[in-house]
Amino acid sequence: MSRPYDDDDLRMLLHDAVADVEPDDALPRLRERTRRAGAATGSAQKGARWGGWLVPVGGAVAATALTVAGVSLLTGPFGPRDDVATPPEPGVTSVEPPADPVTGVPAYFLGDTPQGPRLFREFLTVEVAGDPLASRDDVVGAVARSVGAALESAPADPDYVTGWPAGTALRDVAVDDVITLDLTNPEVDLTAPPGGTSPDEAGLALQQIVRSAQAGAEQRLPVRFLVDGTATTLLGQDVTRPVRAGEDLATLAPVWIIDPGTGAEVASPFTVTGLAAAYEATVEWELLSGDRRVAEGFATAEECCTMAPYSFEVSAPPGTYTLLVRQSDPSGGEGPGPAQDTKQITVR
Amino acid sequence: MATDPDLLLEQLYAGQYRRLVRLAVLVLGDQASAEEIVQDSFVAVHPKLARLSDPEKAAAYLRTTVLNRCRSALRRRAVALRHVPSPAPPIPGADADALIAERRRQVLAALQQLPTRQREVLALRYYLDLDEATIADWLGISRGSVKSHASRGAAALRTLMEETR
Repeated sequence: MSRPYDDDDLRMLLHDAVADVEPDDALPRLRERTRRAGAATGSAQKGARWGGWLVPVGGAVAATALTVAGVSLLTGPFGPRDDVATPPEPGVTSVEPPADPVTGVPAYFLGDTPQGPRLFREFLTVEVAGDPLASRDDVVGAVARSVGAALESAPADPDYVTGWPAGTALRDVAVDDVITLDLTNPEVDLTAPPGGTSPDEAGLALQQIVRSAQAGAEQRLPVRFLVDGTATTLLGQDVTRPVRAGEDLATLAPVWIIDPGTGAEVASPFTVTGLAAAYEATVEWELLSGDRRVAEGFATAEECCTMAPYSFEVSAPPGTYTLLVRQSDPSGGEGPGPAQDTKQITVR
Repeated sequence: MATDPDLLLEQLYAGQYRRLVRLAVLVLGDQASAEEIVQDSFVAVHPKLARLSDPEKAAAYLRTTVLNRCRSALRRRAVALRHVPSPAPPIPGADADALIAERRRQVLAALQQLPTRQREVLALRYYLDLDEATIADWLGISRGSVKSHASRGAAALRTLMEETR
């Protein structure tokens, strides 16, 4: 006889049982149905909803500039497969009025992998005072905060960069059955391919914003891009039609360290958590002091070959370290090599 | 706080839709019915949203509606006994994926064999993470009953999962 299920077993079992249930976006249909019902009872119709704030072109763009400070949090809205690890709380989590600054704002950035640049996610702290879009307490505000944080070239991890020219800002945001983002840059022609980048990198820069907007909205809606109010091209990419999120494995870096974040101070022992899509679901880790390896080990992600949560515990004497997590390398060094993520941390 | 019912509906959708569909899949065993019932519930609560300007209350009201409609659907379905749940279509791929999909299918199938009340209590307690008092309030039963439905449901689920090994 095996032991009876405890609370954690049941929680895991039930969350896992429906983890692959991804309903199609029903908002357009719901809006249609409630509009019909509303018309029947005489209530007012509502159309698409804009953020309602338009900056004069070329002026006051700095008002959208968000101050970004790096804070990495384990718990956060919407990410590939890590929703299982954080049981949802009852209630409408997406409409809490934002305090200032707003913590835990999800935003994506570009970083290197052996397969070329891919996306990493960070949770940032964002100042919203005086920003009429980012300070809103609805889904428009959440999208504005995430996209604003991604455009601002200040990811917490020094290995990450934004794919966007400096000075790129949001003019407006709308969320209905697509997320509409109106971008502007007073100094750079955003429609043209940026100098020195490949079409792949420009495509990934668009994906950086698509993923950030979806993380803010907590919905995988397509993103319609406008430049100064018009949809033509963006960074040389055709954006006359809405852009969808690319496949995880082609878009996201396969190993993310989520916690601790860059610059974190931790007490030993500490737990490292992250997401990885790894061969045989195995990641290897090292704690480095300069070139010296202080500790090492491996951990197993919950699933193979998709972005799945992993965690492990590390003990180390006080000091400053580089924490490195990489995919196990099935090729034995023959292939392009394993992808990895690193964080600079301090053990108190 | 938003009082426009359309806006509140969008916010509820953003915060609750996927979670409620997943809850309904646990109770009903199949995704198509789950999506239909959750959508019907959104449409049903929409006219009342203007009076429920507190998002917490609106979300609770929506959950209750979903659960009530699940229960009605199960009653209608009870006529056609031995419902075999159709799992979410498995994604073809590696063996590991197939194994995970099979495990999920087994859990959903096992849940379907439990009495409705036990299944509801398990889903509310362990999927929505609601406490016993809230569940008791919701289902209109005592806290003691919530506790006993949860423990009997857990034991039965354990036995059913053992049998499918």
